[in-house]
Amino acid sequence: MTILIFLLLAALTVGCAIAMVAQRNPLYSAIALIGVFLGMAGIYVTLAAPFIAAIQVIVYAGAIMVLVVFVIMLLNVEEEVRRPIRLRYLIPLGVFLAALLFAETAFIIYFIETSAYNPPPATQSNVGLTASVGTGLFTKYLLPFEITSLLILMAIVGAITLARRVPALEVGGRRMQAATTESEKPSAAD
Amino acid sequence: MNIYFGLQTATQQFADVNLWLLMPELIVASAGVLVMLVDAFTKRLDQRWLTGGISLIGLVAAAVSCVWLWTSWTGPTEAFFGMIVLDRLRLSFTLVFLVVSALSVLLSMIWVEWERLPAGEFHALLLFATAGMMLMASGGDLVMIFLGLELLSISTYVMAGFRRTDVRSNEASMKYFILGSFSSAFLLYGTALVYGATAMANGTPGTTNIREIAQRLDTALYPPLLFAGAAMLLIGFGFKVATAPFHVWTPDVYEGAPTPVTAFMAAGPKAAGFASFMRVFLFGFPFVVAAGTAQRLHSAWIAVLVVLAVITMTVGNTAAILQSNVKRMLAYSSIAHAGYVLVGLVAAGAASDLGQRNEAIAAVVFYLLVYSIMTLGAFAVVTILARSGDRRTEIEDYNGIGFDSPWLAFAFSVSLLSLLGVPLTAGFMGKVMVFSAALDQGYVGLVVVAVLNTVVSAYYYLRLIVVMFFRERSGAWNAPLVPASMAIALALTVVGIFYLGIFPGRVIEVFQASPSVISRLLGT
Amino acid sequence: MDLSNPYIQAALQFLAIFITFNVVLMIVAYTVLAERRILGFIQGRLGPNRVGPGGVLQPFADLLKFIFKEEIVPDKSTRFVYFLAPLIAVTAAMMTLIVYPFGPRVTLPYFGQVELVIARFDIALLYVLAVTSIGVYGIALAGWASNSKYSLMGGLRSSAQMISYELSLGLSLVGVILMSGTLDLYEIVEQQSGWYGFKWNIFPQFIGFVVYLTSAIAETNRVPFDLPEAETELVAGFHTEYSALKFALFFMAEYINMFTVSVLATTLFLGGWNVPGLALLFSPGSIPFAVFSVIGFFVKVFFFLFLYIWLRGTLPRFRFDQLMSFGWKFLLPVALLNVVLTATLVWLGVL
Repeated sequence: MTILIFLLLAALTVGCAIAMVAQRNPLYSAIALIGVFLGMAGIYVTLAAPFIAAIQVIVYAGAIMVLVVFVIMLLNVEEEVRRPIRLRYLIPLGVFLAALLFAETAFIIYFIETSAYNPPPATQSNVGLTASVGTGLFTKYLLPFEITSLLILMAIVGAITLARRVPALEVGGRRMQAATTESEKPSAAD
Repeated sequence: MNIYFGLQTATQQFADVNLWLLMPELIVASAGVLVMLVDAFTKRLDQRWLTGGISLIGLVAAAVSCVWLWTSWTGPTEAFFGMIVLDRLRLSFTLVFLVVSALSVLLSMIWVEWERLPAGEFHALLLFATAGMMLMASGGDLVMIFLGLELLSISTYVMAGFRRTDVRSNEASMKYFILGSFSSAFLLYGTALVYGATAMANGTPGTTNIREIAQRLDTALYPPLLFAGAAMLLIGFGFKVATAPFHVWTPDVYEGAPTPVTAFMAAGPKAAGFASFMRVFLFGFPFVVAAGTAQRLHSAWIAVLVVLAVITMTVGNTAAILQSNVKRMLAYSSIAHAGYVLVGLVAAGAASDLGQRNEAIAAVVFYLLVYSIMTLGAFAVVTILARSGDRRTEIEDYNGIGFDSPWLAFAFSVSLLSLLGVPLTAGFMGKVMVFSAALDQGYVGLVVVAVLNTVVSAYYYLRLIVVMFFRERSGAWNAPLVPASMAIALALTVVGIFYLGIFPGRVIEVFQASPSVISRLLGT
Repeated sequence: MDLSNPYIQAALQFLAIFITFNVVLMIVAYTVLAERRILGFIQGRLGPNRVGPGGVLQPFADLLKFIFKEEIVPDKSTRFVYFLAPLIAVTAAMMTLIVYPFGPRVTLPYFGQVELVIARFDIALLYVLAVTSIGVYGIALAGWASNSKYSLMGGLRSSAQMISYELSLGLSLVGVILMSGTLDLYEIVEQQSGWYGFKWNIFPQFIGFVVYLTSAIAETNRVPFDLPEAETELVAGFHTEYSALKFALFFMAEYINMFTVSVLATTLFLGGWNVPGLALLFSPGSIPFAVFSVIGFFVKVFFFLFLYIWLRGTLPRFRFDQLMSFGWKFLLPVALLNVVLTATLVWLGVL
């Protein structure tokens, strides 16, 4: 039963992931990515980590991807045109790296299967439960958690600084024009 | 349903909060928030003085608290479950960061007005970046180091693109962002692999705490994963400190970013990267005598770093010769200096006894302090000469300005000579310290390469001085007015270069000394 | 029949889900009818009363009409997304139905002790929020895929509105979560059974309740927050280009959402199936107790549904910038304040 559910979810995840890369329409790619996130959330549930699953859906599928879809919709991104690939020599490199990644995964699985590591079974573990995540966040990981808030605050400041309209600053009591062509004009010191 | 299971344990444990240990970081971050608030609630009248002043006060207060921690702290040296550690490495690096930030604030105060940029945001970002750097030095856990790095990186990406109307600035920001995220991913992947590799046979999950990693190296269940993780970490840090072959972003980003930001980027993030680099590799994968995984890992990363140091120095210096743009030249020079610092890092890593290791660490910190001061000095002059919009940054623009702006040319020459490592300047002392630490560990070949590189570097540093004083001026030239804040910054750097070059003993002693010695030194 | 066999359990679950869906669809159908009739009365007219006695068969007539209408697909639409969107909307709306507890623990013959909820799990509340957040796609994609300016504007407005108010909605729930210390809806309802079934969360969490109610109305795009389909400006908003059954799906999704937010309000703030004083009359666990509890639950839910209709008959529509600034500059700070207040009180041990 569990293996059947896992296979279904894995098929959804992998299928959507391939579709995401293969699709030429950016919106289809975005939808496929949402599918990937949902499939992964399902897999988290089968791994007895329901909290992570819910957060995965709320944060990634529900918030971040909405933003992505918005951007695609508003920019009205056209279907990607098939162009001659300039960096053709990178293809074998990509294949090689992908093979390396697969080899690494296989290697890790092999090591874990043959190692002496003996994790507690999923039913006994409370790793993905809400209470244990909360406990972790507010005890051992309290400081990183708080630093993250600083990080987000700073990121907001930065994003708004870069994104807002060029302001007409008022410096020293004078109203100054936005510096659009300022770098072309000779400055007073010249 | 064992919903309450976690809650009960939560009430039994407590979060190991110790705000005193976090004081410098807290002060800097609060100053950043304060700058934002003041910026939001004041009219835009002379704002650069206001926000810049608050930033400076915050940085000085942080330095005071840092000294206080160093001299009179007797409590525990870890807090937040090992997330924050208090040791010499952290405190000495913290002082370096504070110096860098204070000089950057001085550099940028008038510049934001020249460029019509929002001063409040810039200073807030600078302070947050400083907090990030400090957390990178103080973090005792890979998670903290990563967060500090992100805090630093993201604010630096924004600052690099701060002059939004300038295409070069945008390009620099974008390049830095993409490659920086890439390197952060390396770092994160390395962290994950190390975490996985340090799991224990009895079912204990892995750890990201650096001290615990060091203890678990020999019992690591998956040594190859550990090696892969360490390699990823090395690549991640290598990106951040711009060692060859991970340096390719540096020249473009340094050239395109606004010059005061370049100054900050060349000094601050590099030093912070080295702080974390040393924290992770010296304390996480330390020297051990007994043969085993830990020993193999140690000799592996030392060998890699030796190679990296050689490549970095050589690439940086040879490429710098070919540049025609001063900012690009200084970028390659910063790459070369990262190579010199790596020599010291190798020495610290290879040191078998604790005293020698501490000396080597102190040498590296001293070198980074010196490097920060002289590179900030050089970029300060570049900022003044470049004018708004960074228009005059080609070497030709410096033709014959030496006798028209003697003080600027003097300050620039001092910085360049110090970067080269002429005796009596700080750069000389820094190189002597680092190279002698490497010699103590028997890396004669490495030091020979480093010295040869220094000789090569003489060409491009001296060329600039020659251009300034002995070349005919091309085109019209008005000597720029040097604003007060810039003048203060330049005076500080020149004084610092000579002070650290002539009387380095006291500072080095502070960096090397155990806390009791320092209280004696300061108590006199 | 062995009840502990997982396959039998799964089959029973499927049966329960099937029944629930059908019941909810009936409720939805009659909510629509009730809305039309009540609006009629509010506006001094009769409303539909021709099909069947007093109009009770009107929903079925509407359904037949939807089925037999011509399907019109806009020429330049993005076909796949165009068809996908209503499915997403209605699926997301229906998926939350399984977690709401609608009655107390009851001892049934043959089945033994049963909790009247389809799926009870640790993170029910987060699940609700997660699934709701997926619902945005239905509307956003519908607006985009239709290739019409009205649809696009409606879809954008609607998604922006839902994302903005989702924050206040989630934050208004935090107060309740802080008080009860769990995300399990069944547990939350049970904790409200004190004071003879009158220990409802609405009393300590009144601010949270008001914020929740307001943002829930905005979440479901109802009057006075129905800007996405403001007919004076946008024809019909994101579903302008939809016809026949696909339109019916959107329509259904909207009313199911109305129903589910009402159920959530009942569960979290009005004590769910707790009827004051019922425990004095019947012993908890007996069948009549359960029956009256379920009735009490639905009475509360219908009260909320009536409130929706009432508001629609009473209030004018916001302007879009008013809507946004109300959500971000008033509702969100109030919700945050409520969280801080509740956390402080819980910490002090008052709540």
